[in-house]
Amino acid sequence: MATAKAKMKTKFNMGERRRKLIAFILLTIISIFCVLPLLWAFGTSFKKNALTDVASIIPKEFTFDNYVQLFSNKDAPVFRWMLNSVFISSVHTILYLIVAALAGFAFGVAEWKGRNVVFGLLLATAMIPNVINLVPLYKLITNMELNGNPLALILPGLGGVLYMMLIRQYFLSVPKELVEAAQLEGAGMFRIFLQIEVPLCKSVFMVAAMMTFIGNWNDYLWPSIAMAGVESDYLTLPLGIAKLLGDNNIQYGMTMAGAVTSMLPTLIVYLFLQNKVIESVANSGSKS
Amino acid sequence: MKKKFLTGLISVLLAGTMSLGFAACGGGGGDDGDDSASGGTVSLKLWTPITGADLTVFERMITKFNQEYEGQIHIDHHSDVRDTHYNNLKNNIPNNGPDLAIIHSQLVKNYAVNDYIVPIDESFFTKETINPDDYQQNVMSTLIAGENSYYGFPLDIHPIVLYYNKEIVGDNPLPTSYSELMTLAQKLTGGDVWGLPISTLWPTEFTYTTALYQAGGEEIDTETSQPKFNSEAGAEAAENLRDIIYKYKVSPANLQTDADLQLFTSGKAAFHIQGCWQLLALEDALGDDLGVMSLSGLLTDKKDGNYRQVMARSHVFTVARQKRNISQRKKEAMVTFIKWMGENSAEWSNAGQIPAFNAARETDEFKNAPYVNDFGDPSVFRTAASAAYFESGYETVFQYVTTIMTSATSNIAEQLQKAEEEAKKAVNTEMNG
Amino acid sequence: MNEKNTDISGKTVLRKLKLFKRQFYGFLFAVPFLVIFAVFFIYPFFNGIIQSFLNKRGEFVGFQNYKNILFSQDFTYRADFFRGLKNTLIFVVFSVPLLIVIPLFIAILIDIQPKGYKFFRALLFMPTVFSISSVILMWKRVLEVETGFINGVLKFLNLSQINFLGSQPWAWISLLLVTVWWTMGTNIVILGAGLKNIDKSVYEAASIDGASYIRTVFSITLPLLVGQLIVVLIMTLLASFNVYGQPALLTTGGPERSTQVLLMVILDNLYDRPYVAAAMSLMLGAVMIVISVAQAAIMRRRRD
Repeated sequence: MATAKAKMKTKFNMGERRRKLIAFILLTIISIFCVLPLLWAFGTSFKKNALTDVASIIPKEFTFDNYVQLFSNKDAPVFRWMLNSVFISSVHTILYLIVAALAGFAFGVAEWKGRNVVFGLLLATAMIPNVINLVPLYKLITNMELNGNPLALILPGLGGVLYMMLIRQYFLSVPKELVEAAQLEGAGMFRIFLQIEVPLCKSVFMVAAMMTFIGNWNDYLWPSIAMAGVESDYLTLPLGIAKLLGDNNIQYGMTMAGAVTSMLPTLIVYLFLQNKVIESVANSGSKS
Repeated sequence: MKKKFLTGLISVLLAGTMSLGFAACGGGGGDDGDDSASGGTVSLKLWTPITGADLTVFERMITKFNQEYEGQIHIDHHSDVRDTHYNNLKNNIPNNGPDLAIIHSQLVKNYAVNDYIVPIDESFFTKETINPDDYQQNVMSTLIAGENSYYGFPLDIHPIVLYYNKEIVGDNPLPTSYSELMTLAQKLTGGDVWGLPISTLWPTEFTYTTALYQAGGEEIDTETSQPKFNSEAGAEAAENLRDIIYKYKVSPANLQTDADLQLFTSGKAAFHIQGCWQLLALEDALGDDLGVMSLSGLLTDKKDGNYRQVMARSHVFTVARQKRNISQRKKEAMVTFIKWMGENSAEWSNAGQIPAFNAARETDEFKNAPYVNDFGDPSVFRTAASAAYFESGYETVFQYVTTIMTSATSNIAEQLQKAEEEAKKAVNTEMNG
Repeated sequence: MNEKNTDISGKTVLRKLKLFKRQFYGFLFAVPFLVIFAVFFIYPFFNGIIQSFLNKRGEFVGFQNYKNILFSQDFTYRADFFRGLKNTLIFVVFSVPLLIVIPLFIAILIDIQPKGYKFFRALLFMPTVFSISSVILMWKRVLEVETGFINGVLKFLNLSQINFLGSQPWAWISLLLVTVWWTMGTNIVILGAGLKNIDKSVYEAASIDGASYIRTVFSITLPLLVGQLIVVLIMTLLASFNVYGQPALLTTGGPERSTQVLLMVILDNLYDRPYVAAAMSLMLGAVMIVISVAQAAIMRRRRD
């Protein structure tokens, strides 16, 4: 019996090795196809004749001109756009974490009259898609005279229910005894929040931060409405690159340089944080 | 460790951006603080759809104006691509809009009807006046809002023209009619080179309208905004454009926006129909090989009526409506600026634009400007009719023209019929919807 | 202010008072969130409904806007709305299955843990972090006629060019391709996390029974993955209904408006006819709600 099982196990391992090889080959092929356009864009950004030299990734004639052109184009301050985006997304993310953590505490740990009713109502609104609010939200920021103001990109999303609920979920999993013990020692609510709940639920904050940041960073529809009319210098990266896309069809190499310049810093940050990012996405999926 | 890195990163980035970031608040914030003040510089916000190579020249003019009027008037210029520019205006007027906006002449009336702009009337002319007779009559006549009252004053007229590659065209005589153009283009097509590559998307608005005028047609009824393009002339115009691709085969099929331009700049096209505003970019790309001629009479074989006309557009200075009343000082500054831009618009011809200010076209600077004089006789430039719902009543047709130009077999009459129906609906939607 | 006074004097007073204090204090934690939620969600929500009942001059016209959009032949709304809705649905119907099947396949490959699987996962997830405009800018150049990468290669191989962005079905194929490339990473990771949690001994057991690996995947893995699949399905479905950036930037709705999705139509009306835009977005929202409710119902029935 034991030998039979061991035999099966080696057989299984054999199969496993072959499976791993096949998976490796397939993943390699898929990855090559996925990276190809990126490599081409990168190569094209160094091509002297980007318009005619299209079929290859490696430039026939190499030049830095495209980048020189891009960086001297005062209508395309790519780095400025990037800073604007970093600024807006960071502020948005930090504010959201604060607001959502407080609310998560209020709905998960603290007890107050009407808590469940309010929470039930919030839960019900989770069903309502944001699309519905697009038009009135535009009207609202117009009335508040926030058009073109970064606050229009920072504030509305702070009322997002999704990650607030995720944070609450984590708070709920903190043992009640800890809270009660702290209370007996005379700790106030805010101290419980700050010294017990938050430190114990660090991981959820990373998830919420990553997802909120990436969401805000990549948003295009709302900023294109809310930021209409602002000067080049105040655009976010997605808006700026969209402007570059609309503006220049002849300076082909330059626009590719723009695409590369806009992706590279994101890529570098991603390389450093990839494990955290992937972990966050995985968690956001399994918990929601 | 990693967490530390993350917080460190964020705080560094935050500190870095804090300093510049919140300057952005002023970006769209708009501030009329100097409105009531009596001294100091009057600051005017100007929004335009001028981008690309033109922008350099335009900004040079603005800088010059700002220097000349230092301490008195300052123009704060902001530009965006066409669609964005118009969205910006609709989005921000009257709360955060500009003081002045450049609007294309065919849209001016619509912006007036919808209260986005205010007429420039006698109340503006307390210090200086602008004489409408100083501007090209064709455009100016579409901008009259009432007695001594105008929707705006034009900066330029910009037609489409026919560019050619001298090296490819060589000693062949330049064409004088549609057939001649096609014959020559066919002769020059071969190998890597196309005779006349033409995009099915852009600048169809100009190409089709020019062909329509030359065939003797009209685009719209100026009184009712009802479409008039569904006519024999409209059909002929569409057919002539399609034949370039499918009958004479001098253009690849299905070229996207600016793919034709890319072919021409990379030396793979003999002729190229394009706006005069691309002149600088084309000079850059082709150098001495660049030739320019008027499209006059080249999109029809007719030799009567309006066959020589070429469609042109015009950038018009208009005054945006504002929540508060516009101060007298601002009004006077606006007039000063608009007048100055007219008087100095010869420089604008360096960007390939033809000044709408008559005297500017008489200057040596204009007369000596390379290529611009080859654009053709300004009297054949026809700017769009002035109708309140021009976009709905006419511009609807362009995508149907694209459909026609995308297929050798589409039924032209049927497509134009559909376009007409949709245009009528669109006008009704704008008026009553 | 008053609360603070009670706070100081309350120490010696009854327990009951302390309880009251605590109750109110707890609510305070929720206040910032609730205020923002009220201002930027609740208020616009009701305001949007009201707007959809008004006309150009701000007069109350009941369901007139809805009637115009759904039935009237006098305006362009009806054609625009149904064209947009149709195009959005086309995108949803094709993109959702692709965005589940392809990531699932890749996630399974990664879960086999071949050499460098972490690298592959990081690489395939990477496009997700790029902003939409950068992605489209790059892909537009890749897909263009005459000057695009793919057509350049086709030309080099003496094959005829493909008008990716200006003809159908290529325009849809391009949009789907770009969307899958850009967004599949999220689903790969979420499904991968689900796969990782499945006890590997089930494979071993199945292998002893002589079942092939692929059959094992279908008969054992997928049923265990249902939870993640549902999460991914809902997320993908909602994202696909909200599609805007890809067609707006890549095809600008063309050719012949065949990729003009409903959100583009809504935005077209935003400035000049916000009341129509509001009514249209409420109807789109309603469609989305109906689908998620239906889905929830199906899920519940399955679970029972």
